[in-house]
Amino acid sequence: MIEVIGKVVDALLQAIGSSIRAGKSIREALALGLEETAANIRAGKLNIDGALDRAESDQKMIDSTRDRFKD
Amino acid sequence: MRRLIPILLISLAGCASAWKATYTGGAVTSQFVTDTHRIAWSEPMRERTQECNDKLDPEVNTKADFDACTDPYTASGNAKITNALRIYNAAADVLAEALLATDPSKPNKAELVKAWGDVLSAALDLVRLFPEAEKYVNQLELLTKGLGR
Repeated sequence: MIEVIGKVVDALLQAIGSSIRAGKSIREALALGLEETAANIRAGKLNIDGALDRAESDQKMIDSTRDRFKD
Repeated sequence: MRRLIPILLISLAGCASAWKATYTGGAVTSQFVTDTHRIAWSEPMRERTQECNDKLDPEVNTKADFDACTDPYTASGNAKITNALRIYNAAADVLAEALLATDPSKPNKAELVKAWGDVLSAALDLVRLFPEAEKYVNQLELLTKGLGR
C-alpha cells in the first residue's frame, strides 16, 4: 500500500524535478508543481468518477453472479 | 519513503498558501481514494467473486452460500462502498467549486478548510469499509498530516 502513497508523491516530485531541470529554482519549481495540481483540479480531476464507475460495474458483476444461486 | 512523505508534505504545506495546500490535499486525497478502492477492494473482490463462481454449483448452493464464500467481499459490502464513493464525490465537487470560486490571493480559509475537512471525512468513511481498514486510515492520516489536517 505504500506504493499508492509513493505514486502520488512521485507525481509531485516528477513535476517539481522537471521544473528544476528546466532551470527553475526550487521555490519556483514547487510553485509550478502545485500549479500543475491546480490545473488538474480545474480540469475536474478532484472527483473520482472513475472509481465510482468501477464500483457500479463491480456491483453489476457481483449481483449477476449472485443471482445464479438459489434464494 | 515513509520518512520522505511527511517531510515532503510538510515542506509543501510550509511553502504554499492555505489555498494551494488545500488544492494539493484534495488532489492527493482523490488519488489515494481512487487507488485504494482499486487495490484494497475492487480487484480482490472481483477475484473472490470469480473463485466462488467457479467453486459453487448454482443447482446446489444458495445466495447465502455465495455470500459466505465471498466474505468479506460481498455484494452488500460493495453496495455500501459504492454509496460511500458517491458521498465522497459530492464532497469533492463542493471542494472543487470552493477552490475555483476563491481568489488565491485572498483565500476564504474557513470555507476551504471546511470543504476539505468534508472530503477527508468522506475518504475516511470510505476506507473504514475496506478489509484491513485501520491500515488505510493510518496511511491516509499520514498522507494528509503534513498538509495542515
